[in-house]
This record gives sequence, structure tokens and C-alpha cells, in this order.
Amino acid sequence: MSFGSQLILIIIHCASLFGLAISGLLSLILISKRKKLIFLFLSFLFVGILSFVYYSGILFFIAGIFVMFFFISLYLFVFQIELFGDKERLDEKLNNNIKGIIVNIILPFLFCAAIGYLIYNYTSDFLQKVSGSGNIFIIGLSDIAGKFFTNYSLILIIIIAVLFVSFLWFIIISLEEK
Amino acid sequence: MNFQFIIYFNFLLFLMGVFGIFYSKNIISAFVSYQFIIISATINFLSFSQFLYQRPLWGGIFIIFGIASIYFLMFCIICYIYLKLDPLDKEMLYREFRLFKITRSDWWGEDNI
Amino acid sequence: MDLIAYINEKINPLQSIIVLSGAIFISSFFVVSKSKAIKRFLIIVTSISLILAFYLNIYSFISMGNFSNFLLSFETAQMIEVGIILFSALNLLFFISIYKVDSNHFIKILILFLFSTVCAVFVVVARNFLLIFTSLTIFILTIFQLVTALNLKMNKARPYILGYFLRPTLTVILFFFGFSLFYGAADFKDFNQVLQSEYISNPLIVLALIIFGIAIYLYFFLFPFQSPYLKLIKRGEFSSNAIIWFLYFPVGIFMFLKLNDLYSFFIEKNSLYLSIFFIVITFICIFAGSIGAFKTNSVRRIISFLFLFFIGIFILNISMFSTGIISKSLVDWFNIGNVLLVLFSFIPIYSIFGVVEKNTGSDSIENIRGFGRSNIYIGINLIIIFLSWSGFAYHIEPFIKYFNGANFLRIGIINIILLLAVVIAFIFLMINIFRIVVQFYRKPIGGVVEKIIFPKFLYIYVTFFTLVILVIAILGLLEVLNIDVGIINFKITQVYFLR
Repeated sequence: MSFGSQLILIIIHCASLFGLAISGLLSLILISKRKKLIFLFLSFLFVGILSFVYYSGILFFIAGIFVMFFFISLYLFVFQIELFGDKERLDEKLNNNIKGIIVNIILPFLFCAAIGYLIYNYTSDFLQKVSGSGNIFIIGLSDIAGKFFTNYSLILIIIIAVLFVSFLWFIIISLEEK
Repeated sequence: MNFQFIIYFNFLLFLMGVFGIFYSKNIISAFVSYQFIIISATINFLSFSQFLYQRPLWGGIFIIFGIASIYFLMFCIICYIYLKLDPLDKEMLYREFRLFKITRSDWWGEDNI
Repeated sequence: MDLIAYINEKINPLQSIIVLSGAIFISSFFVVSKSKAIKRFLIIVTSISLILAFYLNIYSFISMGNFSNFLLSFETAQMIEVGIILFSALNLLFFISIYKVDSNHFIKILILFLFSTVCAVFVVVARNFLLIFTSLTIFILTIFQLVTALNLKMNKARPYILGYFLRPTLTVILFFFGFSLFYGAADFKDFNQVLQSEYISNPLIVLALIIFGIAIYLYFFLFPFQSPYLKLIKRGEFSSNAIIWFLYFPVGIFMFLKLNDLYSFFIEKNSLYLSIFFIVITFICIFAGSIGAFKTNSVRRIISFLFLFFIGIFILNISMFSTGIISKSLVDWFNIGNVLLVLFSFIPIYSIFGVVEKNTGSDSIENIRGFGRSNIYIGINLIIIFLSWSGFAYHIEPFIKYFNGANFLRIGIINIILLLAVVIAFIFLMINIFRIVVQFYRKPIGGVVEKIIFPKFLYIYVTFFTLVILVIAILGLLEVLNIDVGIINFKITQVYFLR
């Protein structure tokens, strides 16, 4: 691979990781639900770009179908509440007291920071010794389809069966029981 | 790109998800936190496939089946909220819903409906 | 016959799944029907298919032995676990038929129930990581669909169903992350490969195992995460509670048993800090379960707390293994024995108390005052079933062996603390049993106990469980007292068939 294309890959890699971190942080912190979902969707787009950087772009398209359904349903729910709900009841009461801030923000942050530090200490020796393969292998749809139908056909059957059974469930919950 | 950096970045995303689970005050935040753990696992699979293995199909197949099943589960949960819950219950989930809430009745005494 | 044998060999070890799928296929032709005759017909078809699946499960193992391929593994342990799931499903069919037969969606619920049983069997026989993960996720999805379908009329339960099922969703997401770490350590596809390789002490695998442990702890709603479970059980419909207790929890236990070998590798090293950690969790689970059951007057909450107490016994078994009191094979036997004890006791108890609550309108413990005076037969059966919990005292036997053999000055303090935990847990359990039994013979509150009318089938149903418990209790007692009756060669206290 030429130096130029390697450089482009590194830049896209860094940019997508950075974008993922920033959009992720914003979706966690922002209070408005719509903005949360918008930034979450952005972070998924950055994951999609990363999948291309890791030569697995086809996975983004296949997995994206299921992610799309989830996002549409989540956004419909938020949209319905915000459109038809009582504005006063919906406003989140911000926890301004000190006890609320300590319990909800500082303690979890310290807990996660402590765990992160422990993980770093525990894995740093091992990860420094890891050496990569350096080979580029682009995953194609034919490779995946081949593996599906030779080794994992049973799992495919289970997933298709659950789709049929879920159809019955959708009928149950959408019909009014009198 | 440094392999070690990517792994630590994935752990950071995972810990962001864990922080979000404790911090979340409503059901949307809870789902957002779940997404971070899923994203970190997905990038783990992708980066391990790319950096460590010769023919990395296992990671890709795991991602497809894993994401299909997890997102279908979450999709069904959201559908249930959307179709079956009263408007008041929906607003309650939207406004205040903690994943880990401890009340006295969970340890001691009665839980009056 | 050759054709049947050929087909049997081809579909091994999925015979039980094929039979249940056949029942689903037959039921799907009658999905829109609301006729009572068709509902009865399908109940009969489902029960026959479950019994046939149970038989084929054992027959295929005896005739064809162990089976193992890339995706599946079917050995002694899996045969027993699939048998337990099918037995449990047969009993759940009883609950669903009694409480939901008048529902317009009964046949759809039956199909959902059969499919969740199929997924549960897949979780047990799965060996490949991908199949384990996918079948576990789909199992949780089908249980969610089943519980929501069963609670259609329970408006108060709906938000709590969500709160409940967001936890197993977190469990599968943590499993997804854990499997990604396994992939980072080495290109493993199943737990046996991990166990037999040199990579087992790899930091990524250890981290993944810790994450799996946390995920399973959340799955079981153990203390202090029990809130959604208790709230749902209090408000849920009878058959949905039964589904949660007798299908959701056993599958979690079997999922935990898959990881048990890996955890044993680390626990066997007898690390002091690990033992202390497990003992602390054991104390919390056992005491919180017993005290919570004692301090409430709601029968549903009593049963819920005691159920969590028995789930805590699994952690007690790990603690005893971590201190070296018991061996790995004894841990496996204690675990399976605990599952069987829970199922054989809680199923009849809940079937009786469910009828009591349905007739009296509330689940207060005051409603069973004088119950033993007016329903002598059921009262005696219940007392025998409650007393079967005293089989938990068998956990003290390894301690007796240990203290007999050890030098008094060298007995570890950890072992004494653990023995104290077992003894106090046993005492609390007896207190809870005593409290309920006393209620049976107290003077009844006027007009309440007379409302309770049991269906005739329930007498036969409860008698079956009582007889099984009595037979096992008598055989066990004879073995403990070293009396050889000579009727059968089977020794309950020395069953090491899982290895």
C-alpha cells in the first residue's frame, strides 16, 4: 500500500475515533432527548466509517438494517411523547443538591475511573507484547454468505423462526383484548 | 494505528457506557448507554480481526448475528412501550427511570400496589 | 424401523427440538381459533410432545452416547439439563392452561411458550460461542414476549415488565462485550478450547470472565439488584410468575454451569481474597433473602425472597469450593441437586398458593390462616414439601468430614465463618418454614378459608411431587444412616455422574 493511502487511512481512523468519542459524550450529557438520539446516530455513522477502515464495510450495511429499525422505533417513541405529552410534566428536574451530584455523577465517575485504571494496569504488559498480522483481508459478502450456509445455518434458522414467532407476538400486543 | 491505543479506546467507550448506566435518569439515556457497550464490543471485534488474524471472518459473523439478535430484542422492547403502555407510564419512563433503583420495600416490609 | 433409526441418527441430538417444532407447526394451523375444543386438543398435543421430547432426550443419549460437533455438545450434563427444562415446561403448561385458557390469544401464547422452550434447549446444548450467545438472546426475547402476552390485562405490571427485562438485555450486551474479549485473546470458538489452552490466564480472558460473572449476577437479580424482580412478581399474572421462576431462572443456572469449569480453574487456586469475596456475597444473598421473606406478609414476596435465597445457595457452593471444603464434582452435584430441590418444591407450593390467591383475592399470609384445618390433605402435602428444604442441611456434611479430619489448631477461620453462614442460613430457612406452617393451624379469619376450592386435578398433581420428595428423602435418610435396603444400587449421596 502506498504511503499516501496509508496516511489517508490513519487520518480517517483518527477522525472517526475522535468523532465517535465526542458524539458519544454529547449524547450522554445532553438533556434534550432528540439531541441525544441525533448524536447517537452520528456515533453509529462514525462506527460505520470505522468498519470501512477495518476493511469490513459490508458488515455496516448488513448490521445497519437492524440498527435502523431500532433507531426508527426509538425516535418515534420520543417524537410521540414530545408532541402529545404535557410539556410541564416532561421537563426533567435537575438535581442541584450536592447529594444528588455526588451520588449520580461523582461516585459513578470515580468508580469507572478506578476500574479503568485497574484494567490499564492489568492489561498493559500483555498488550505491549501483542504483534499483529499486518495482512489486509477485505471481507466480502460471498465469504460471509459461504460461512453462514455451511457452518452457521442452524443459527440462521433460529433467527428466521424467531421472526415468524415475533409476528404472532406483534399481533397479540397490537390487538385490543376486551 | 497503534493496536494498544484502540483497545484502551474501546475500554473507554465501555466505561462510558457503564457510567451512563449509573447516571441515566430516563429510559432513553439507558438505551444510549447500552449502545456504547455494543459499539465498543463491535469495534473490538473489528480491530481484533484486522490486527490479529489471517482470515478474520469469525468476528464479522459474530457481529452480524450478535447485532441482529440484540437489536431485535431492543426493538421489541421499544415496540411494547410504544404500543402497550399508558401515556402516563410512557411519560414516567421518559422523565424518570433509573436502571438501578433501591427502595426500602425491596429489602424489608411490604410493597403496596 | 431402519428409516426411523437413520432419521434419529441424523437429527441427533436435536430430537426433542424437532418434536417441539412439530407441535409448533401443528398449533400454527389453529392460530386464529378461539374454540375450546381446539384449545383442549392443542394442550393435549403440547403435553404429548413435551413428554415425547423428554423420553427421546434420554433415549437418544442412552442409545447413541455423547455427541459433539462444531456447534453442539450433548453429554450427561446436557441430557440432565434438557430433561429438567422439559419437565419444567410440562409443569408450566399446567399453569398456562389453568390461568390463560379463556384468553383469545391462548394458542398464540402456547406457540410462544413452545418456542421459548426450544430456545432454552438450544442454550443448554450449544457449544459454539455464537450459538450460545444468539440462543441466549433469543431466549430472553421469547421470554419477554411470553411474559408481556400473559400480562395483557395487568395494567399495573407493564412498566415493571420493562424494568425487569432491561436487566437481561444488559446481560446479553455484557456477554457480547465479553465474547469480543475472548476473540482478542485467541481465536477460540468454545469454552473447552479455552480451558484446555495455555491462554486461559490471558488478561483479556480473565476480564471477560469477570464481565460474564457480573452479567450473570445481574441476570439473577441477586441482592442488591433485586428490585425489578420483586416488583414484577408482586404485580404479575400467575402464569408469568411461573415462567420467570421455572424457565427463566433455570436457563440462567445452566448458562452459569457452562462457565463453571472456567471459573473453577481460578477458584481452585484457593486464593484467600477470592474466598472472602464469595463468602461476603453468600452472606448478603442468604441473609437478605431470609430476612426479607420473614419481614413481609405477602405470600408472593415470601416465595420470591426464598427463591433468591436458593439462588444464593449456588454462590454458597462456590464459596465452599473456593475454601477447599468440597471438590469440583461435589459442586456439580450440589448445583444440580439444588435445581431439582427448587423445582420440585416451588412448583407445587406456587400452584397451591396461586389457587388460594385467586379464590381469596389477595396474597396476604392471613388468607392461609386455618388452611391446614379445613384442607387437611393439601395441608399435609404442603408441610412435607416445605420440610424437603431441610435437605439443605446436607451442606453441613462436608464440614463435618473436614473438621473430623483436620488438626484443631490448623482449622482455617474462613471455614469456620462459612460453616457459621450455612448454619445460620439453615436456621433462617427453618424459621420461615415454621412461620408458614404455624399459619396453617392458627384460628382462621371468618369466611376466608371456606372460599378456597381446589380443582380435583391439583390433588393428584401435588401428591405426585409429595411422593417423589418422600421417596428421595427416605432413600437419602437410609444412606446417611448407612442402612442398605438392597432394593436398588443407586446411591443418592454419591452421584458423580456429571464427570
